[in-house]
Amino acid sequence: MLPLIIAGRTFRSRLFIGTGKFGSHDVMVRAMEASGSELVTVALRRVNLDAAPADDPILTRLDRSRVVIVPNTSGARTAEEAIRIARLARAAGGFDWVKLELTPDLHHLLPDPVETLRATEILAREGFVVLPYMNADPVLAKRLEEAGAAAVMPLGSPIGTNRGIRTRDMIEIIVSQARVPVIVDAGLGLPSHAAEAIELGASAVLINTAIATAADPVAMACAFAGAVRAAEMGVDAGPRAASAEASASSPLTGFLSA
Amino acid sequence: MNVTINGQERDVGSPSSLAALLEGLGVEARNVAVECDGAIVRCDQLAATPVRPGARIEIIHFVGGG
Repeated sequence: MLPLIIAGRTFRSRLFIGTGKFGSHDVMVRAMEASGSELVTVALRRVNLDAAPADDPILTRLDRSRVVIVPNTSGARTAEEAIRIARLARAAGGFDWVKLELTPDLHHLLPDPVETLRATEILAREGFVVLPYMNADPVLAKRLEEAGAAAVMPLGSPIGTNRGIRTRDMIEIIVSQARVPVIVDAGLGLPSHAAEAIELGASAVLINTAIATAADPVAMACAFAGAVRAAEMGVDAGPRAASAEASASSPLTGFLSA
Repeated sequence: MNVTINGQERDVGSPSSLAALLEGLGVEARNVAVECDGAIVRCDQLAATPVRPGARIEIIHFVGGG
């Protein structure tokens, strides 16, 4: 596979990790290290002034010299809200990568394509490295690319559902047309789902729920890393196309005759 | 004076600046983003930014997310 380069930065691992839903920052950090991931996402929320902080600030637990930290815009319903979050993240921590997540419908958490495209245009112009979370729509993927997205992030299935890649045919079209990396995000519940994404030609996957909520998140992070690596090696090894007809693996001559 | 912080009205005394207001709330400035009346206030400007009565202030921090 071609080296994975986003906005000039090369990533050795094709497994990206979300930091939500972990039982503690300790477990999150150990899972992240076990995964070998070099890109993690974080979210922005209001500080709760009436409660003592439950844990250290998450940024103190992430080493920015080793991983790219990408704030997401979760909670935003409009382009304006997402842009506000991205600018706050830049002001707070100097982060200029942003994962656009614009999900007005709280039931399915599906991304709003119109608002996502608007926010991509504006934030790309402001110099952000924009990674838009999107439905697996090949036309939208091209529009986002033209608007300045540094990569596109089509969903496999809705966020947190663990249902795997239900958008397979559309992901294949997106991959075949894309000139930016394709990162399959959302819904991947098993290591085999991540492997499938890489085998389809995706450049990387982003996993959160499947690792964070596993009985053993650190072991699951290892499992995902192994699956992604195995799929990458398989792609590099040059798999042969599927065929409708059988093709004998053993010689068809020299049979013992009665 | 009263200001609205993260959607809740609070009496914050009379802080000399946004930096002093954060200190009074026990919030470490280097870990948060601050928006005052809709404008982002960069970390290095907090000490130079006054607080007016009735200001609408948002104090945001990073948390785990996917």
